[in-house]
Amino acid sequence: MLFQQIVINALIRASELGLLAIGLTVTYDILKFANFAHVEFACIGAFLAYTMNVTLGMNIILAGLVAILVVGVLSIFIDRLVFIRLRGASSIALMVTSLGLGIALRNGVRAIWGARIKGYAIGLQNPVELIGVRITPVQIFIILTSVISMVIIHLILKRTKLGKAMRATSANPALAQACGIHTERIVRWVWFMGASLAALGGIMIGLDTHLTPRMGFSVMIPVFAISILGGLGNPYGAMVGALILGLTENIGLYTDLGKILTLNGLIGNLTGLYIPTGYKLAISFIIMIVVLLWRPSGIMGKRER
Amino acid sequence: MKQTNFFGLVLFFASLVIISLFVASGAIQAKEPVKIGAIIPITGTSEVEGQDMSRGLQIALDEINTAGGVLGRSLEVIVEDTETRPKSGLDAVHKLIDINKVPVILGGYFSSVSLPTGNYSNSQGVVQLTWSTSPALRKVGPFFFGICGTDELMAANTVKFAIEDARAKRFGIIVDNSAYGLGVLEFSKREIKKAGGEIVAEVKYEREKADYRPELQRVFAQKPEVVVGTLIGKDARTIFKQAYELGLKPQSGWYLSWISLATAPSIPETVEGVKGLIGRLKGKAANRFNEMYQEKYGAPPQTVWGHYIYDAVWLTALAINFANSPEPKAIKDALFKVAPVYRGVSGGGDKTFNADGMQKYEVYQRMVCKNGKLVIYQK
Amino acid sequence: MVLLEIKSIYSGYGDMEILHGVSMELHHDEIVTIIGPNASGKSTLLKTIMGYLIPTKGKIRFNGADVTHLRPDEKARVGIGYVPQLENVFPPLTVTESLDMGAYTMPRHGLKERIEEIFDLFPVLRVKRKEKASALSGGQRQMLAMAQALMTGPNLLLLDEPSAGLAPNTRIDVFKKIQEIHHMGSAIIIVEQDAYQSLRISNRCYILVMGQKEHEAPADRILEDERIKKAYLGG
Repeated sequence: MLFQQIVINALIRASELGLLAIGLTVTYDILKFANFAHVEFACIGAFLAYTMNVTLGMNIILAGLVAILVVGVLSIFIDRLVFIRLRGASSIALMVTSLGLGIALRNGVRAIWGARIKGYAIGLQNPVELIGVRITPVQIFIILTSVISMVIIHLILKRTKLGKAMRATSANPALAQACGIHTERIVRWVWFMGASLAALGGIMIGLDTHLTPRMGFSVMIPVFAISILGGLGNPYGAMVGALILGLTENIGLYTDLGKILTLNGLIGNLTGLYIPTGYKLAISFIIMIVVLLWRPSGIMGKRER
Repeated sequence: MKQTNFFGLVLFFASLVIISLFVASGAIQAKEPVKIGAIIPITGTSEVEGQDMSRGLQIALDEINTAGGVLGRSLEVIVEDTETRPKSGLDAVHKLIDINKVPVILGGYFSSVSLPTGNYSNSQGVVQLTWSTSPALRKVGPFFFGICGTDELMAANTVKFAIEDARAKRFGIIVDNSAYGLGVLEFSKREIKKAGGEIVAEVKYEREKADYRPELQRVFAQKPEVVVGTLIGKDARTIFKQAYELGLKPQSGWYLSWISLATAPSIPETVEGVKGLIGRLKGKAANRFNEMYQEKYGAPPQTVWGHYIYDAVWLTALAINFANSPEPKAIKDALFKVAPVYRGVSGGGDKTFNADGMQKYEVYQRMVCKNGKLVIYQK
Repeated sequence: MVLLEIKSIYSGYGDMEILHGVSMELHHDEIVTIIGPNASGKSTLLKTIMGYLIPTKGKIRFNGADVTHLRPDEKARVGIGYVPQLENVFPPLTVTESLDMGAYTMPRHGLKERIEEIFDLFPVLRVKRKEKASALSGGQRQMLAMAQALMTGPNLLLLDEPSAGLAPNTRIDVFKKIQEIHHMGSAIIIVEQDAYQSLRISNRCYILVMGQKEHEAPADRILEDERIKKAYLGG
């Protein structure tokens, strides 16, 4: 197997999870709590797009865009319904609330769409070969969409008034108010942005594989690992974190540790020493634990306070 | 005074109505159906197989009740969903035993579900019949029965199939990381070593994940001639899809234990030419079952599990009639008596139990996937 | 002309009332210093004027309109600027971005020119325009904080301990700037503990003790009053 292929596989994984992690991290930055219900926005977005694409026969790109907007609005609605009552509550209280909300949303999806496996109307993708790498058109689309989304996020945060106001509100909410920024309005925008990014990530996962009500829940650990790795609240850290996790999962399982330990046969002869595949999920956990012990603020450090 | 009399009269009639209702319900009670329970993966990883189980169950029930039911009453099955998960399976069994007080429970399907549920029903003195295949099930207890040959037989036969068919020497193994999958892994390895083959990759994958590319790269890293093992349900669909997209294919093919688990939910193009074993369905009884299924549901069964639950329902009904009692203890003893004379539709048809209450014989059928359908393999 | 009128306000944090009926007035061309011992309610008064704390009783009028219940961001829109004592900059934002945020309520066009004007007032910021606020020195941060609040050209500027924690020569710079700002047309309220320099540039002074107004006088008179100097200015 070619090394490029592994990098591409890692890139696909990073594109999907990165979108989710950036959404999580921007909401954390303003709301100051880790929203465990975040990954469920991915699931809801994916299923909404499914309904529009398969049931109503809409074009998948249009269906995806509508689903992303709907999820964004839904998240603001949920904020007004649930979290607005908890402004200023401890982050533990908020986390537990979001955990409960996540369970409710997950089962809501199941109640509405059922537990059966579903897929978008895009047919089986035939891979193309580029520089010795096999990749399907949909996967190219996923990587491009993810990269473009990240550039857009960057431009929003750095160039627009709204993005600067988001960063200002995150850094110093009281002073932001003194500048005339209506911070509650910023909070709504942040919910919208975070949830729509999650929805986009969910649709990407759905395009690449399939949809089930547990699709959000099943990526929760890697998404949190990425966010912690990049430093909670730091979207650029999340982008780098996603790449690292993707590469670690793919290379980690593929690498013959025996060859590394013996310096490719220089000292002793030991081959076929692999990380057991059953421990793939442990890679996320180990990343989280190591980062929390070694650099709790993430590899990129938190933005200065 | 008059008023009181009037109320007295009303009371008198009211009590008459109530008493007659009681009597009537007593009469119904005498004919109330015999209720047993079933736990089926209606949702989750194995919902496709679960659908066949629900249908096989219905076919058997219809037959039994048309033929007069059991003990002169009709037979009814209370079905609960295991969601293909041990925890939900255990919840379902608790409900069936504690609330519905059923004497017999059918199912469990995966060994990881059958083991904890079987332990509970055995501890409560309730009979459970399962078609799970882990050898560990032998030790559950006297009230626990298996009606499908255990994994060591299946895994060994799968490896034998690969060796005979492809002259394979270099093996990759991939299994679902569950009690069942690990059993297949262990027995496949044992058989490969016995035959002098080499194992170049050994992969366990976790359920319900979106990305199995790292696992696939690992299986194919050392270019195995064949890949054996077991892939299940939705995850099999993802794995085959991603293998197809990556262009990963063993030189001499896939040989899978319980192949229908893997191919039924998958996209046809991605599983073309995949080979493997299922419980043998040939024979008069099995053909008749297939015809009934086709007639009732307009399509042939996708998996073999409808056949197994069909046999489980029939065995239970025969045992209840033979014991002339709906008590678990009597049913348990009767099962040993009726199984040798019963001709089933699953796994070759001979459902005789050994002393542990597990299947003595199992006949497997070599299959290959062609255009999305499993057909009998002929070299 | 009266710019700000505070009529016997009661305010505090939750159940803890800190201001017990404080009244004051500010004319549009004045600098007023509020002095008083620790925990006398000086900062609470500024926070209440800005809208971070909502008074339980009393009224605040600004430019003739009742602004008692406006949120801080709404206060900013009607022309009140506020520079808190601590955490008065956005650490991750650059100097230019911070000034951009200072002008949040203004239309976008003319922003560049306005930033240049502010740089003329605070030349040190022009040099550091691309630096993050977190990279500035204490004095530079104080300048940035004031510059940010000045972007909209507010009618009233509230300064909470502008010289606290700064080196003596930097303090002199800060008060010079405050005078310049005043000349550009903003009325100013300064809260100070160590108030000699502040009083020298002020018109009038209020003394707040235990959440109540203890004394009110022209600033030069206070500086001459030995009794007050001894009690509130540390000798």
